[in-house]
Amino acid sequence: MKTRQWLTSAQFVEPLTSCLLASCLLTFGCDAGAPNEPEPGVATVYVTGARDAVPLHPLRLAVAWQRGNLADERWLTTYDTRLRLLQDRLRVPLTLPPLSMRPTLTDASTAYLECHTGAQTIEAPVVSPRILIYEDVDESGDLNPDLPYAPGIDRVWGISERAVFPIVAFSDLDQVLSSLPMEGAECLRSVTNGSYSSFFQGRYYSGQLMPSGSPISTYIHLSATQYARVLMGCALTNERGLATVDQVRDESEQRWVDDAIAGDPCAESAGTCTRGQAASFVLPDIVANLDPGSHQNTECYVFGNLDALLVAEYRLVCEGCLCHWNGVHKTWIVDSSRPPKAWPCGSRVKYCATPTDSLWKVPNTCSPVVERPE
Amino acid sequence: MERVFNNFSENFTKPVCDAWRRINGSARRVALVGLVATSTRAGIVHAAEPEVVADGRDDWTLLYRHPVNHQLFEQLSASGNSYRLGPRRGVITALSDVSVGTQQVLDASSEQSRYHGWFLANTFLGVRPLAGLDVNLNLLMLNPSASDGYRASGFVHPGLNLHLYRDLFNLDRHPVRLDIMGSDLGWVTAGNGLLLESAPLEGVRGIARWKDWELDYLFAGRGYWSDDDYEALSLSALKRKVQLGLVNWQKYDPPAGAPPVPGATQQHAYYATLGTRWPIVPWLRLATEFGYRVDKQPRVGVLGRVDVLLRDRADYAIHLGYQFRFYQAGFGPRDRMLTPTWAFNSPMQQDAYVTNPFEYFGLSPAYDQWSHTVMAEGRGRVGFGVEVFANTELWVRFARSSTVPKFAVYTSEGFRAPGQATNVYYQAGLRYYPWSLLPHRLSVSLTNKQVQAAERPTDPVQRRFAPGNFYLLALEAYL
Repeated sequence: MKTRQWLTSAQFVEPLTSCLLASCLLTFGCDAGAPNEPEPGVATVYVTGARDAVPLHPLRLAVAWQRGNLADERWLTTYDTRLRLLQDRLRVPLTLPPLSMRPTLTDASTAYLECHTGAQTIEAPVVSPRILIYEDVDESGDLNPDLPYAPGIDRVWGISERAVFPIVAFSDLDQVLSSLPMEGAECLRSVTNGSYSSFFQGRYYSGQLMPSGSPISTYIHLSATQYARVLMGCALTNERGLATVDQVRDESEQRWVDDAIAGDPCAESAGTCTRGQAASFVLPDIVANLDPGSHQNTECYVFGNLDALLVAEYRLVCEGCLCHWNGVHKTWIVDSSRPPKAWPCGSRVKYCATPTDSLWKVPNTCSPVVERPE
Repeated sequence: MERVFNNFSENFTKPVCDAWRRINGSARRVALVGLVATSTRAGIVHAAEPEVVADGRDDWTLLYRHPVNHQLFEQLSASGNSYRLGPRRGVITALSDVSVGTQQVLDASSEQSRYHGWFLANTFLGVRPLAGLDVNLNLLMLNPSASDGYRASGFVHPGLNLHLYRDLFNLDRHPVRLDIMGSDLGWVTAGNGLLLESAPLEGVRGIARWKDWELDYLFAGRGYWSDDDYEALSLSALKRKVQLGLVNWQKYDPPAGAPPVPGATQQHAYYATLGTRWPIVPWLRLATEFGYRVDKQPRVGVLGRVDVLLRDRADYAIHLGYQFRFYQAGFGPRDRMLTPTWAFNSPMQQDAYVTNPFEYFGLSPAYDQWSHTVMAEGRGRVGFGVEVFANTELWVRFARSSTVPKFAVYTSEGFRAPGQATNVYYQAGLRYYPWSLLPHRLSVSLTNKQVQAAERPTDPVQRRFAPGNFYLLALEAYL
């Protein structure tokens, strides 16, 4: 005969224990436990890129939160540790800054959660950290990054990707929970992978930040240290930056022509055109495109005995986190037999094929080959 | 001032006294008992009085015990209802509780409750065409708000109870009596209230009685959620002093974070309960209930309650009560945290304690919960037809997370689990009885226990009482 489930002695043990517990509760003696604080999150970071670079100073890994913009850009770190070994995969603990400091964070957005609570989509304020690997140049043990608009000391080697799958955290998880029915709390729990944590992996869908449902992970692609002036702020694809970044607002043209060249090469210039001795030309620093806050496109053309150096410089200009590109097209035209000193064409910058018969109509379609300087 | 009192005496007291003198001796004695009980609005239940079966009303409280929608003749025959106008015997009878009133917020931060200018007529009509058959119709007519426009929000909510009762046969020279009734079951308390307390239910109920034994079957189409059914079978002995119960709570639990699945398989929470009620002395009672959820992992719930009630006094009445509840995590019928909803919300609900299983079962899947509640009600006549009254409830509740890792949840009332909260509910004020021996009255009081309601009283709400402090003015008549 099959024993009834609720009559087995083993299953009576727990209820009896509960009865003892109940008698304890009668005396007010049992403690409900201190109110829970959200638990730290954990992110898996995959490191790619210049893994073989040798730093001159200690490499460190930090979890940092942006405060302010541009020249006021400051970074608040909640985790900062020395990396003795640069592994392919790192486990990084995530904690939020103190509640009082969270309103000052500028990487803030809104997450949209579909929780089947019978209510509308839950809209919750979130903040986003950046995980970065940097060279601690001043060996202070603190992050003081050298940024395009807020120069510092430490060189940032790489920073976590967040354009598509950002790591985000509820600014105030308790406040979100208090506004939700308990069904919503269960939903939130599934968003944070079953833990009582403010952190979750986000994803952008139709411009809205939503939970991805995946464990928290991100990539850091390392770049060469000398040119790694990473733009840390304002790169978050969110409602603040999505619409305006990548748009070119202002473009201008400047031209310098060697006096030795006959004719009127300035006639077709749309901008300023200056004639002078080639030896006196101040040429730009030709660098690799490693700074996401600026963009330099360099091309060289040859036409007969003339050399042309075309440099298009684009710089991201931000007002707060509303950014646009400003572009300047610079052209130097010299006699091929008497180039100025440090003329890059033919050496560091290879020539592009010139598809037209006019020097003044060269297309800006050649992908430059820029060699890294010694 | 003296003239005011003299006028008052001349205009109100003297006619009542004159009428009193005109009543003959025996009738006066009967009326005296009734009127004394009437003055406390909750009558003395004597053993000789007709019994009202399936009576879920709390006997051990000074909160008003509203009439139930069956056995109207028996209710009217009870001594505490001697002032009622309806006939005590015959084919048809009726009674009605009528009130108009308003509540207003005391501070600007509180929101008006839905019943901020209401009328309410809780009217019962009972027809007994023959012995063994009662047709009872409860028409609850109410308008929650005078602000909505002229008669714009007036509702009539009918509840019909068809009651069949027969003595089936004799056993040991005692009849076995069967009562079957439905569908309006009124406010139902299962056992001593561990699982269901003062819950408005519709369904069917069958009761077989023999001597001091009682077998009670109940099926309710909605308990605390829109998708649940409550089914119970209980056996009572010693005039319900001991009660064994089996409960089948049917529900549809969705997966975590997911909506209910159409066509999902019905699930069940099965319980065994044991309840006791021990009147130690006439004014002291001890009640206990132990519940055991038997499916999946066994879980337990415990309720203990002790009450001291001094009600049968001419000028004052006092109730002091204490109850302890413990619900082990997983004891509640739902296996997902689903907010329960209260399906019917009228000012009558204020005559029930806030401490109720409803407040625990939403959290139950993930939290051990326990609470201590002190209930205290008192009233006393101070002269000139004025009564001072105060009803309070101190509720200290605890919730401890049973999950790893722990998680925090807020209930609709704002209670954060895990954690502890202390809540005090009160209503205190004055009642003026123009006819000192009749219950019709004018009352003014302060309270923080106002019923929460949406636009219609039948719109389910997640919290039973509106937050805030209010003052109440009410005119009440009992017919």
